[in-house]
Amino acid sequence: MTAEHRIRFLLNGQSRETAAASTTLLDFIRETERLTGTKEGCAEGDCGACTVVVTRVVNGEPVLEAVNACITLMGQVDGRAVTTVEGLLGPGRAAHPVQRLLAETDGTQCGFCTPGFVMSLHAFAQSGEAVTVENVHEALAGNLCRCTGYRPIVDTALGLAGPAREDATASPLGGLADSDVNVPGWHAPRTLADLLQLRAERPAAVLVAGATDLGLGPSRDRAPIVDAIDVTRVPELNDITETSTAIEIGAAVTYARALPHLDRLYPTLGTYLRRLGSRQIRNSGTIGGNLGTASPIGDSAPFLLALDAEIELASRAGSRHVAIADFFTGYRKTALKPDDVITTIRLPKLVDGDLFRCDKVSKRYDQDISNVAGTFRLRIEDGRVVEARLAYGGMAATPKRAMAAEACLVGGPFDAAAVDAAVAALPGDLAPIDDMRSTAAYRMAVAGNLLRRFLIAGPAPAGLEAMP
Amino acid sequence: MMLREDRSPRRYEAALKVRGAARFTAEIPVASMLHAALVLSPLPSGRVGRIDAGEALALPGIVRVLTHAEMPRIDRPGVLIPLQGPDVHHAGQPVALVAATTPAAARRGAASVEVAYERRPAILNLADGEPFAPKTAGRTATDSRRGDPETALRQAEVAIGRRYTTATNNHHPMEPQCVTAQWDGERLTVLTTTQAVFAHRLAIAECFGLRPEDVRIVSHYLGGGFGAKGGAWFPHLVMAIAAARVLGRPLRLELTREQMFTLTGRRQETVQDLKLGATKDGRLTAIVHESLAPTSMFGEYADALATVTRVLHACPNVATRQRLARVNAPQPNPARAPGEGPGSFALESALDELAYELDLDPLELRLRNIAAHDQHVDLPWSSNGLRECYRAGAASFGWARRPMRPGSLREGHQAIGIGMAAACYPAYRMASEAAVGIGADGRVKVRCGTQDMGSGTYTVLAQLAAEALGMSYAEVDVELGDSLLPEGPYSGGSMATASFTPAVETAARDLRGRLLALASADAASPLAGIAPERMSIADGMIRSGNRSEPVSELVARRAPQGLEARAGAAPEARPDFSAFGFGAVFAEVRVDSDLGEVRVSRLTAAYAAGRILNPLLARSQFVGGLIWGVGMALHEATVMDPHLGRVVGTSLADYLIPVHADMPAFDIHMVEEDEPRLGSGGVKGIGMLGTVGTAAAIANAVFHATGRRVRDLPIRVEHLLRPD
Ligand SMILES: Cc1cc2nc3c(=O)[nH]c(=O)nc-3n(C[C@H](O)[C@H](O)[C@H](O)COP(=O)(O)OP(=O)(O)OC[C@H]3O[C@@H](n4cnc5c(N)ncnc54)[C@H](O)[C@@H]3O)c2cc1C
Ligand code: FES
Ligand code: FES
Repeated sequence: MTAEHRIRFLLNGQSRETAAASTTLLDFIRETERLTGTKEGCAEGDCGACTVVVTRVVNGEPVLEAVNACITLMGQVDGRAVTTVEGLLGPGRAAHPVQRLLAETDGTQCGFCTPGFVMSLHAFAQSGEAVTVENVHEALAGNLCRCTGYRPIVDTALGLAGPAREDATASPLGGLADSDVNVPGWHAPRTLADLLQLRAERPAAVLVAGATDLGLGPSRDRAPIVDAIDVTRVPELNDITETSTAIEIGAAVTYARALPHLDRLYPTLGTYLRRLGSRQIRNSGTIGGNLGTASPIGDSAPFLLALDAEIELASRAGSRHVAIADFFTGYRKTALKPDDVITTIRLPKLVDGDLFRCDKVSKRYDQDISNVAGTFRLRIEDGRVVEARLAYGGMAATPKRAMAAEACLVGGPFDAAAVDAAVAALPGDLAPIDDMRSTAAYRMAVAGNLLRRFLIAGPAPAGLEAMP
Repeated sequence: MMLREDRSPRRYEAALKVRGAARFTAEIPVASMLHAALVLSPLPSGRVGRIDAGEALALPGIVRVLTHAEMPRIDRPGVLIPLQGPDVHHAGQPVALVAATTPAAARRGAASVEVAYERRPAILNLADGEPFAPKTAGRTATDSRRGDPETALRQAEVAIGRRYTTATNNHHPMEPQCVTAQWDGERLTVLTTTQAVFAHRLAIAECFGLRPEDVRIVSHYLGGGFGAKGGAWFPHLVMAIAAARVLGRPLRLELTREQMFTLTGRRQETVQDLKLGATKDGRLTAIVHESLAPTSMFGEYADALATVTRVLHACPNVATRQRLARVNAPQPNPARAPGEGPGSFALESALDELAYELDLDPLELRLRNIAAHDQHVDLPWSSNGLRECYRAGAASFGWARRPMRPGSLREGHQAIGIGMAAACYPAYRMASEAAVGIGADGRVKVRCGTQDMGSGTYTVLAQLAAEALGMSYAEVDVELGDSLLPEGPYSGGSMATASFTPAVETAARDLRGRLLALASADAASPLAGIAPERMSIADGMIRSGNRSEPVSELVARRAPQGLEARAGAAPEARPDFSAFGFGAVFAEVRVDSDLGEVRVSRLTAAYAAGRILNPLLARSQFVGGLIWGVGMALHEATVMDPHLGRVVGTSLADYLIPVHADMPAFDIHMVEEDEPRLGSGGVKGIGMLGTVGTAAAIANAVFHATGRRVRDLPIRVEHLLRPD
């Protein structure tokens, strides 16, 4: 590739350059720029004290998103505008409406979480979403506060009702475009061909998508990523295409972008995805990354398994499709070869009469890793189940289908007797463990109860809106 | 009396905090400073052998690696100052400190230090320790006894005995602990996250053989504390100060979130046995409360688990007994409502169980046992608003409509339950000084060496001075968090406000008197010749009849350097009354029948806690306290590996503090009390009260929803969904 191009971006409206691609955005803000309004409370994406807003242009429109600066790497903000709590102040350091309201409702006590809340609230206000309690909870779920009990902060958010969206300064990016970064240790190819070539040439390099998993190294452990290939600037990996039978999602599409599509196509999946990480995490994290991490409790595997999704893998040798069931080959092992890149994930659409439901059970409602996640899909013809998919996360070393239980459902009507038989078969399919989050016995009981609930409370026919 | 939140002055420093302009400790630049990172022992018990720092020292930016061999000796019995010797007493104990030019370099250096250990046997579980009686339990006596509880229990018409347990908790303020130590010869400046500017000044001076005046401690803003930035932080503070001395350069140590599980104290786990005896009509005749909790191998700390048991309900025969056992774990220390939180869980759960034994409404049972005086010390109450709390809380909550039978309320696949508990917390006080001054520009300045953990100290100091002087709140400046100021109280035990209030009010009244005397004696003043008693100050104007003068003009003319009055206040040596704040908590929970998930949907609480200075901020404190109760009841547990002695899961993804969606609807009532006898100006503490009783109210509501009595905190889904 060509000569070095530094990372160029805007920080509170002013242009900045750096070559320190795998430095975290939080370190850059606090240490290099000495803007200390943004806080570090955990350095691992859990607390939201480091929340800043990143603006990028999508189809000519600015999109403002809250992200965790602690696990965002500088390479990721190339061509973007970063706003910190200091950047919200108006002329004469006048407080922004969000800041004024938060002070008025006593939404700040010790104040350490406050700048993060301010930025999440700002992104929320600018998103144009309806100001409802549910949306507010979702928008703020990634911000922890140990003092306030959150009520005054929620009140602040509700008080934001319909503020005119600011015309995020006439040209938010000041004409800044992706600068085709090429600095030591960070490659951001612009074409699939370049990506595949880099992948082949640099076997030791890591692929970086949203860095919500990978960012923990540079952040929490201060262990830099020495050689990174950023997959997110390749158009093919950012596409969402829909045909009459399937939706294809690029591996670098964030959860936040995929969510409205998946919400529309698959009942309950929107609710399920809104409980994956926090909004900050969903604004960066990708399904491709979730598959790349191959965690046994990764939340995308159960619905991908239940939908018989196909993963497209590409290398310089060409591309191939792998059924999701064949993708996970063992504990944290996948079918990815060293020079493979995940390019797209193909999810078949439901057909009329399909029953579908996903559930995630965790200790705390939001921002919590699943104890058990389950996704179920049934195809019913003439009152009989002709195809059953019961997929679980957190119930074995890999995300797993319960095939014996599936067999109990196929062939007859979907009724209590069939479900009882399937529940009885689950222990043969699944092997949960005791850990600090939960016990095996509880997990097994819940796995069965989720299936019962699918029958009683929630088999939402395809095409209907998600159940609340 | 209704308290108006909308008229409360807004939080003094809120405008800074929402702008991100409040400078926390880690953000204050210090020239030529080094950064520290810690090497921690993975073993819970052992002896440090060879430490190989060769690889670390070869890394860029590493300045030095310090071990116990290089550190100066500090004599401080009862606390484990790290790097004082080769012995390891708990996993996570620092065994080396890496100093580097950047935090990241220090961290990488620490990861490359190789330490050899000699492993030693360890006691990892409370049950394996040898119980002993601690010298005290918190600020109270270890054991207590009145009447003959054993006989009374034997003869009781109804008796129950149950065991309750609570988990280890960590405080996890959102701001991690930080210290920057800077030596200048025999003088020392310490910027740190401390809840006790003056107590730490004295203790640090003692450790290093300095005069207290030569040590300056600064803590302007604290990102929460909850007990974790007091005594538990002290040993690491001292370690960093000693390291800075060896290095001959300023040194900053910032803890990581992971280290906040082991280096900043913890709420003890508890095992509590509660026995109650009562008459058939629900009068308590006996209470026996015995508890066991862990302490570390080197220090002794016991939460006051029995305080609530001793005083809350009337009962002639009460015995309480608290024991500790040593384990190889970090030193426990006070956490919000230390003792009173877990202790009240046992007592108030047991009362609920007794109510079901008696088939008596749990609120009615409590109403039949209101204590007319403090039976523990045999003194009258300064006041006791518990009955009014019960009434106000129950009315607002709609308690009267509650069916007695568990499992009677359902909505879809949710079982609904409601439960309640009572609460109390002692009104403590300590000595405090404060100064109130006024400048020629008419601005008032309050100076007090206490600190603000987020509890509203800045606001209350400004408000007290403004009100006592007759100036407006907006004209007051506050200086706190610095040991160069008049000596203020530490922030703990809900006592800071009660301690400085009389000092500030006295100083402000003194200053007011001097201003009026000045005006009276000043021929140039329109008020010349008028007796001070006939003048008033309001909104910055001195007035008498139709004559007036702005305070600022008087000061500019007669005292251009400004005026300041200083005062001190100390608690009564032997008060002839007992002072507590009281409360009643009502909880509604929803339990998912299929999954066992519990959500608290409503919390109503009524508190009688003396004079409320700022209803808006007081409400925030009560809500904050209640949330801690929710966390204790449903989420928070520091899990220790029973074989390795390490914390399992050391992130905020593993240690669950409540999030937005866990928040119930809050309904807070404040019963204002007149407390002329309290030397605190009528103030009782409020910060802890909200965390007392709350976990029991929630557990009692879970029982009411499901018929399952959970006696072990936190309540887990497994408790409620036992596989059939
Ligand atoms: C606070 C927090 C909460 C979280 N909550 C959840 C949760 O509730 N549920 C859940 O499942 N996960 C959760 N996660 C984990 C994480 O967010 C997800 O796994 C996410 O999907 C990772 O995507 P990413 O784009 O950020 O991946 P990255 O961190 O960029 O990469 C992850 C891995 O995938 C590889 N990779 C990325 N893209 C490709 C590609 N195109 N081809 C091949 N390999 C690739 C990378 O090399 C790396 O090994 C959470 C993380 C955090 C920090
Ligand atoms: S510092 Fe906690 S999420 Fe970034
Ligand atoms: S105000 Fe203290 S953490 Fe939120």
